[in-house]
Amino acid sequence: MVKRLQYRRLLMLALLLGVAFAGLGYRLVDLQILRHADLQSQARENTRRTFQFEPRRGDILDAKGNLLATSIFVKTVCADPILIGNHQAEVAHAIAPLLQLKEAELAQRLMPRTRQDDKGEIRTNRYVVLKRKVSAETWQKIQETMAQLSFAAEENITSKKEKAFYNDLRAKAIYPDSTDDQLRTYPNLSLAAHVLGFVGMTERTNRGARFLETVGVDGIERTLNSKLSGVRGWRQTEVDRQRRELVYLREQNIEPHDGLNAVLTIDSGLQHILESALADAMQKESPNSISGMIVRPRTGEILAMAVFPNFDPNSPGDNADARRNRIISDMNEPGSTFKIVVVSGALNDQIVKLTDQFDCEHGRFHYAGRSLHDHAAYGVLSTEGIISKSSNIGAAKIGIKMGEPRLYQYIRDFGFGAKTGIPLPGEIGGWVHPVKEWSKVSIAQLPMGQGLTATSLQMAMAMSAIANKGMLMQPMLVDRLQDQDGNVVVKYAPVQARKVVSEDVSRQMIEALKTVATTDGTAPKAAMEHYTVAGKTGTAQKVEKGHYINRFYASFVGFFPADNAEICIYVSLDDPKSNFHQGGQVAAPVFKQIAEKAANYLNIRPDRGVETGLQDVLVTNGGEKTPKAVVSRVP
Amino acid sequence: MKLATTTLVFCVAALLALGMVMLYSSSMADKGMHFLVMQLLWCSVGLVACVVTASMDYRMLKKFAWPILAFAVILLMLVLVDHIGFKIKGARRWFKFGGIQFQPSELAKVALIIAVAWYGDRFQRQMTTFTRGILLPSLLIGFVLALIFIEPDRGTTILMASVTGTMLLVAGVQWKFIVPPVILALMGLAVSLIRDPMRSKRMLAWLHPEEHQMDVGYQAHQAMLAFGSGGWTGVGLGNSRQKLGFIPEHHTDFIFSIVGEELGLVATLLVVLAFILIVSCGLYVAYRASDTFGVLLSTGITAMIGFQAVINIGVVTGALPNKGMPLPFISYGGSNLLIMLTAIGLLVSIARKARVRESATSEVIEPEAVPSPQLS
Repeated sequence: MVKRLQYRRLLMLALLLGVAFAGLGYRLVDLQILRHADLQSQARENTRRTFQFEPRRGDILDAKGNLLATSIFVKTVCADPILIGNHQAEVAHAIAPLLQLKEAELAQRLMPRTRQDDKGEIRTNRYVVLKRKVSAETWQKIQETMAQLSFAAEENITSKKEKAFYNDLRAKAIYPDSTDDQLRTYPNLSLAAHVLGFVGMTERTNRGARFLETVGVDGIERTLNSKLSGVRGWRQTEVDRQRRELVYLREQNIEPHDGLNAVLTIDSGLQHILESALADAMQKESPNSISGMIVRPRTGEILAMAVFPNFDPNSPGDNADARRNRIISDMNEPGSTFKIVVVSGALNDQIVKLTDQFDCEHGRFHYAGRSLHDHAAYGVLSTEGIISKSSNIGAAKIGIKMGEPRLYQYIRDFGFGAKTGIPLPGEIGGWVHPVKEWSKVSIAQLPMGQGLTATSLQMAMAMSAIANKGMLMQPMLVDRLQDQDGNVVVKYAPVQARKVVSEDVSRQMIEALKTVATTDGTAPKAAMEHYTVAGKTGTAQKVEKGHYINRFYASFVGFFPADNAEICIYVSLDDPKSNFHQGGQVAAPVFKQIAEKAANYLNIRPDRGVETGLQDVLVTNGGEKTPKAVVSRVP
Repeated sequence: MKLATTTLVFCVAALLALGMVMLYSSSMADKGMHFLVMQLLWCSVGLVACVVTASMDYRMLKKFAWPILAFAVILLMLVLVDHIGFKIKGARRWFKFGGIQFQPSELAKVALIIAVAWYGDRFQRQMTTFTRGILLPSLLIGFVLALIFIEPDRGTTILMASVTGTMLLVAGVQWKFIVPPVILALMGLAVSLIRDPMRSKRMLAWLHPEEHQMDVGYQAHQAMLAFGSGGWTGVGLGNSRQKLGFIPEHHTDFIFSIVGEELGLVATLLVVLAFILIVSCGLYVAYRASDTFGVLLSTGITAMIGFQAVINIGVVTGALPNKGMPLPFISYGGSNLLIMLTAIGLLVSIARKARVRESATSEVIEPEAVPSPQLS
């Protein structure tokens, strides 16, 4: 029974509800269609997450596979001040000793800090880095300590909320950063420091998150950085409100590719021999610095390279002087060692023969208004004698005979005035002036190693060219790159730079250089018991503010066995302070010390002072019918 | 009439089915089958109640109006007593038997509607007067609502005040008597809103959603994101992301947002259409009811369902300030579902006794109008 009034009012109700539902319908269209794109992208921010995976930086190995540099994964320990509540003191007391931080300072850092974000809302900092590069063991200890922590206020609590607070405090307040960090370590400390270089950290941002990335700063770490550092991986996935990953919604999951391992030509045995000898000399002569290297002339491989003062790449410090690889980035006048260039060039052009005689003017020779001196008054010397006695005047006369263009050509051909291309940062090429800038006396000065500058590396490579039948090799430091399973990815082959002199000339040069390490020559102290040494001394006056001063570079570069060179050793001392300063007195003994031990280490076959013939002796074992053959070498 | 009841039952069945599917979809990630099983249990009880009420004569209720109300009031009082009533999030609204929870205010809703309908029928000639028309029923309604209000359950109080007000209006109370109490009630509501910092914050969050999307407005904002990412056809059943902890109450009051996200605008508009049809059928039943009791009863039931749906959808879409209110037939909540299904049974019962269109005065029962609730 509906009266008119009731009918009217029912209609009103129907209208009211109808309007309300129509309004809601429009609201739905507005939200779901008109604002679809905007709201959808906002909703995606809720769940979409991208995680980064850091690759492990590759190891650096020596030629024998010994570890020179390696990376271990470490944690970045962080804290969430909100979860700590007002227990800073207790937490700091518990973990400060483990983190090796001061307790008071740590407690201060655990205090919550607020800041205003872009929208003016006040946010509390929930990410405080307490310490980076914490080892996995230490992190485990921190975790255990936190888990066992108990608080005085905790005993008489009942509410679930408070219990949950303390559980969170124990389990989550101190946490590791989700991105693993790694620590670069050099197990041999300063061994081959100048070759290896060191790493540093740079900051990289990715979608607002900041990462600290390890990059090579110097040495091989820098030149091979891209190969060592590997390729980052990532995971694009979704998480729920508790930030738990929803594995079934993973979209992309790219594993990181660990960096390649670099295998160097450096042999840590030889490197150690070289460094101990240089360290001894450092003590004895107390020079400003001392450099040495061992090269295999046949291939150009650098087997050892060391500079003192040196540094520990684990903590490089800020002493740039000690970090500088003086072998490649310092240049100086090479001095007498440079005579090998002019003499071998003249021999190659057949301008002189080894037996040609030169009048050495009894130690004083006037040329182009300057007077040249020898360290002793020599009369007539053969070409060979000029090398063995290291006569400046003789070398100058050969240079003059050779002429400017040819001399310049040989200087350049031996690699001076240009970078050798060693894969280390900071190499310089030295100064070699073109002929048109030469003064009149240059032709007489250059043959004795004055008026140009060279690096120690250039000098060692030039000498190696003579040892290697006149073929100049490019210095080689990296033998191969291999992956984590030891598969070779890149193999580097020796590179020939150019043929500088003929094989015959190199043989003649070797004959001349053999005389240096004899009682007739300048470096009898370089002579070895069981090997013939070919080498050359150098004693260069240092230049300061454009004038020669009474300080010297003493150097010796030589190779052995002379006729079939296995290794070439370079030693130079900057300003030795003992009684002597000549290369033959100061550098040659160091050469010998290195050479003897290196020969022993490398099992190089002696070529003199040995009764000829190696006997292979068959040893029968206790009269058995099938004797075991044991081959032993009896000298 | 047959078409109206069929449509009504069909719509309710469709919403129930959708509700079950969405309940499982939204709660499987954290509770598995638990909610679904509970809801199915309550639903089967509700369907039985629906069939029983549909097959009996609703006019019988006139005799039981008072006892039912008295029973509901006693339960409402009991729930306030410690150790009997069960507290969730600071509100004492539930009885707990074993694993089953029951809200007495849900029973009170129907009891109140029956009581008001009985009153309007009994005193239909005096409804225009002040004492009989507004004072006495207001006192009665006020007493029951006060019990619900102090639980506290403001949502149900507001809902039932509107429903009973509507019923009184339809019963014939004059506008001049009904407007002042409504204004009074609104003022009281405003005062309680301002005095309660949480409620006033919710109001602010509703007015300025962008500023509060990280605190009180979080739930409403996240629900809007859910609707927005749904688009036309949704992200697909079961693929909702917002149900993964981003929308609190995603299986109860905010389940409609998950419908919007997973099934899109098509489904949400269909749900709105279903409610429009239910309300239309309900009002048609009221229009055709054979006596005043029937008119008022069906008006009350229809208003309850309609208002509840409007408030819920309004809240979930951010069109209204945040207020907890289940969406009829879809939200998880056993006692609500039971009462809703019983109410539908009553509507069907009224429809069965409805007068034939032409003979407006006679009380002939349409034999075909007996529905089969088992359809659902």
